[in-house]
Amino acid sequence: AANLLDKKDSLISSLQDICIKVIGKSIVEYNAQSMVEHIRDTLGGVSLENLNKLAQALTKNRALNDDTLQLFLNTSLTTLTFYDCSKLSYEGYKRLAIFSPHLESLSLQMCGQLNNEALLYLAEKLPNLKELYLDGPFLINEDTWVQFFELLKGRLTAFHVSNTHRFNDNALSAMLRNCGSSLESLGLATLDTVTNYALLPQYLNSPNFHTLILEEPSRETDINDEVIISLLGSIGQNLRKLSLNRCTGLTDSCIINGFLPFLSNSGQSILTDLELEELDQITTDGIVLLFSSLQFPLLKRCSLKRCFALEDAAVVELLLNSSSTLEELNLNGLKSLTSKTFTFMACPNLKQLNIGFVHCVDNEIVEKISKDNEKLTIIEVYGDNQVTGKCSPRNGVSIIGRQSDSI
Amino acid sequence: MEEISLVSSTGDSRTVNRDVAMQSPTLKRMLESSFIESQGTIKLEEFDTRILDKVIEYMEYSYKYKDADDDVEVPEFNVSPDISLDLLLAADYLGI
Repeated sequence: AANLLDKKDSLISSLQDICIKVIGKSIVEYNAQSMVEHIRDTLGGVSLENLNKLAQALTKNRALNDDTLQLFLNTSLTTLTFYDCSKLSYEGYKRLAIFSPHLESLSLQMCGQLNNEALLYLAEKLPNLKELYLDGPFLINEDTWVQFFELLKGRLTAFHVSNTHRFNDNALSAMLRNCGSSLESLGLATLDTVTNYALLPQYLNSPNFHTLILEEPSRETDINDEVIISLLGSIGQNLRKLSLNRCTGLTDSCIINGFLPFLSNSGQSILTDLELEELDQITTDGIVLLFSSLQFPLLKRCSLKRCFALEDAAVVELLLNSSSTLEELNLNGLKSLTSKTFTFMACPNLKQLNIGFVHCVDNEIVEKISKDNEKLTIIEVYGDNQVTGKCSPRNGVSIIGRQSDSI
Repeated sequence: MEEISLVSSTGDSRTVNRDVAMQSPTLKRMLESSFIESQGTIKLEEFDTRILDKVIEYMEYSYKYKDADDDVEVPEFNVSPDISLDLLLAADYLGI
């Protein structure tokens, strides 16, 4: 059952994964310095992908600290992602900058100990840094943000920040003034003290802008239809990824006056990811209009989770538009859906489907979906109490979240 | 069933069922190539015998259980920490 929850589709792990688990475990248990050194010696032989997996395995055990960090420091690295930096100290970040000076893209999630000094150190010592993804940098204060963006003026192409109350309007405006015209990817999520999102359209204007993530403003009026409409007006045409999760102030007007005119190039949009979670003011009519007016020939991932107002017609229109390309679809919590929607669902590339808390879903529907969508491997059915242990989908499909399953 | 030989750096040779070896994309390419390896003997100079044995043990384990039904109890595959790193490099090379 643990494998099921980890969404592993095969019972057999690959030998690489088994080894990575063992290595991760022995590093945690013995904190073996010799092991770390041995790995460093042979590092040239480990592929970047496995290195990344090792970072993930360590992260799972909260074992990434200043000692184990050394594993990943390599002068030739250009990309580094850490999923849990809670134990990395200021010294660790400093070492990172010294030993991997060629880093271009750096992602530090849960970087709670990253302080003012460390951030500026990274900015100074990493001359090639172009992409920075930070989650939880709550020690960084306003002055440091301002200084940081001045240091990176014109260099940043991607900047994502989430979960800090110290990133405020002044920091945002410093970011936009210095880096706005070079940015191609921007993510702002759960920032309690940012209110002035209306600044964004004035500064973001790169013709290559491809990723926009604006999630969960502290007041729903901060990200309103006008902001999104004028923002899409300047950067909408080449967007590949758009996420507006929990921007609950948005209404159909945003779709009609923003998405329709600006998200496409003569009727064709190149979006691959569209997430509109918990937009409770968006109606069926809005979504129907969106998917009947524009073509989304590349759309792979779509989430309409908890858009409570949506009914069958909205999802059917989405399927009519994109059923051939969709790989992941999230319809969690669309409580008005009826079984009719699922008779239309035949997506040859769909791999993951979330239909939790859609009350009409029962054994029969799940079995039909599993038959009609041949690549599907995972169906999530949390809260669907008509899906029971008797449900027997096609081989190769995992049902997650049934009440009858126990761990 | 056709068998092939895998040879370690120290010259020890192990015979393996061809289908078992074909699970590794790397070996598969070699066996399907027009080079001498396709005749059924592959020298793996980088692997010492201990690693080669463990690799074969894994491929046989995975071949046996890959199509197992949900109700079959799949035993865990044990790897001792002292060879884990070298085994990782080998697995990386073989793509398994």
